[in-house]
Amino acid sequence: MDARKRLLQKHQPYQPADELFVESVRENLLHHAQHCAFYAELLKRERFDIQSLISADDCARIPVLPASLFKYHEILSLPRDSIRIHATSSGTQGQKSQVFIDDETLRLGTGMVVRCFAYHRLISPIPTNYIMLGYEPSDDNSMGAVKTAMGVTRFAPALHREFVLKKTADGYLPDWFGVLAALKRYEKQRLPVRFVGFPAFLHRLLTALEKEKLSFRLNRLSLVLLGGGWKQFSDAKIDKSALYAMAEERLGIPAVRCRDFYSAVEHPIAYAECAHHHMHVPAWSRVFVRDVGTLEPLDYDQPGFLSFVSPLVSSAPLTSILMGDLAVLREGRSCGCGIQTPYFEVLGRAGTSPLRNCAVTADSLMR
Amino acid sequence: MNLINGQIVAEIECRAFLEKLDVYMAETLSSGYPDAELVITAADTLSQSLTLNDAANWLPPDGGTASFLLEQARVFLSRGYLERKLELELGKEPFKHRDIGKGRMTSYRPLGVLTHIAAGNAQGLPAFSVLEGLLTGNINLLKLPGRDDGLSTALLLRLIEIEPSLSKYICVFDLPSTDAGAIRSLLSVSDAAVVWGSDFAVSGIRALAPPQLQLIEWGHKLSFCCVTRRGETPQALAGIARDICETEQLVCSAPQCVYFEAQEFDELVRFGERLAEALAAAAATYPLHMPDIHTRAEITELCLLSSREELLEQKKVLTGNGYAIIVSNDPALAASPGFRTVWIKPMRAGDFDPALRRQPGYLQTAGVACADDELECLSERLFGCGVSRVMRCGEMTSNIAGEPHDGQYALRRYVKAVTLSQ
Repeated sequence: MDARKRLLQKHQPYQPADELFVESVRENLLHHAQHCAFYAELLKRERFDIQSLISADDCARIPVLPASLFKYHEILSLPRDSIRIHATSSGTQGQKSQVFIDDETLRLGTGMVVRCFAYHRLISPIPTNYIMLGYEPSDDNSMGAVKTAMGVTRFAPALHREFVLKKTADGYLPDWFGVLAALKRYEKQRLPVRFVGFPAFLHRLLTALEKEKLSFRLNRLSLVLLGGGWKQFSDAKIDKSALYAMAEERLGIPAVRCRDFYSAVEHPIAYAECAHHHMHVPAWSRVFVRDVGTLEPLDYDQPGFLSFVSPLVSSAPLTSILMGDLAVLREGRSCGCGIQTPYFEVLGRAGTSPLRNCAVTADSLMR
Repeated sequence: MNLINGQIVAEIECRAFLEKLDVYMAETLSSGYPDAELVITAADTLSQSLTLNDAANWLPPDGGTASFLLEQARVFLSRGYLERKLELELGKEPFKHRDIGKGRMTSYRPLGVLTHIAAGNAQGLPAFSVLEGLLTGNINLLKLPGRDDGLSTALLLRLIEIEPSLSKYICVFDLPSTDAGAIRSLLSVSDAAVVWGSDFAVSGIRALAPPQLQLIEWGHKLSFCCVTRRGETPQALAGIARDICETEQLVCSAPQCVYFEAQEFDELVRFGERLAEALAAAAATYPLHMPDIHTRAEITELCLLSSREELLEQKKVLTGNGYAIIVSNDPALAASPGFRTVWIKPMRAGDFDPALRRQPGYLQTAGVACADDELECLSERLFGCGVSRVMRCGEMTSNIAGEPHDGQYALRRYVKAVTLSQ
């Protein structure tokens, strides 16, 4: 899988290399067709010829898999004993996606994240204190979000990590007192502070500080790194710019040092916000926003399903994946941060229709 | 929009009213209850004043079925319907004392104050809930859903314009569902809470309600069809198509699954093909409505998922112009996103009843197509599994006055039986 390595290790993060990208994708598809009976069958049924992929745009024709497929089925392209990591999605209701990652994917993926963080100047050698806006790791917690958050703490050496959700005899419970006490300590220590995790928890923390009329002036190298979306807290969701404004007011961290990330267990590529808060597409991925009726790729500025193509993962056929989010694609040039590749804006979860009145919906029924 | 004493008021007056809610309620209660006859007359006048234009204005931009909605609204507000409902559910002269011996008399009295917690986007349902409260002599505090379309407030305002004496028995509060304090204020002066909505909404109110408060919950329901081999006829399939298309499955009595008495998966698929023809034909009578982007997304995603799963399970997706049928050999109940998306499942002895029993609180209507001699046995089995209505296919979404709602007589829940000893 040489092309994949070259793409992920040697290439500039935001310099598209179409030929290398397509070569990597062809390699990736061949691998999955050879090692995953389900995927081989699918390509055959859809009459898709891997060799017909010439341009990056052709990649939209690869038979796409919905991310939800991985909630209900274990689909692998490698023998089970090659599996290094078992990651689950974080939703608290219903089935969780199960994705398995092998060594090579893990290595390349980690390298990719490092290069992404380096590009955005998010790596620091200075000892840093952390507020982890999520779950404390534990043996029986296999959430990808937890592993990712912990991984992020390697980008600035962790002096201390304070978790919002701590493991207790009654399961995970929020410990706001602990967090507040830690923040006070951190402010005194004057070292940079990084807030890592779910935006809903940041919002709760900032709202609590507002209520108590508390604010902190943290080291100017402090950062807010958010990921995972609002999940079951979508009712409380506020505008990103409003959230960043609150962070500046309560923590002293300006918006330019607040960055959101998009990633998913079924598409473990990290999309980082640039300084203008846009998630540009890196060289190792392509984004297609698809019509919600026909699944055909749409032009810029039209809302549809968010879908990705990437050759990163070899353990499962995640090459072309349809997410459960609605998004729009925007022209990269319009951003102004310097990156020319397009960027996408997530509009929200697809399928949370307000139209039904008294009828049971799928999320109430357990499958 | 908040509505208090017949006036639309801003949040500030609303909050002030909430502060003294117990005083206002005590005052109103002591002034006597709304008279059912007055309520019926006003509702009937309102019914006759409704036009198709009104109905079209009430619907969300992508929703259809304006004429169905208008018809429903006219019927549910009409004198004939309401009088019959009152008589069938509460009997003649419900508030008059009856002698039960040993010098004791019983009759019904209104519960007193009802808080109605309305579900989202339920097209006038909150107003009907309040109407049921008025019919039974109660004061009604309506908490609107988060995303309210203004329809219920508009209907109630019109009702008050027609009969101003009703204004003190109707209060509408436009408060966020996260305002636990305000909701508690409403619940604290109430004799019962009438809760509509999803599991989430119902759980929410259960958590806020004091233990002694009576809860009348009208939660989400799921309906389905049952077709036996001997019961399958072109008329039955046309009936199922009607049940699906007329309301676009937006009401809880419309089917989300169709169970067919097949042993083998292939038979199920062929049945699906026959139902597909009926759905295609129904488009002539029931023109297609384009749902909103979210519903379309949900349907597409479900079809894509099911199509991929064809390689992993016994599943088959049959799509056509404006409809999608997902045939699955798994008998478990499943929900559909609506708009002519329907599951076909096997009805086999041994796994059908347990499949239904896994969701007893959700079951409502079973639309049945069977031979006459099969009906009694099948209907009893269905009632035993938790179904509260067994209807013929084609009639699932029709309602007549006096029919119980989700297994209960709503009006009986809004009154109490009192005893007086002479």
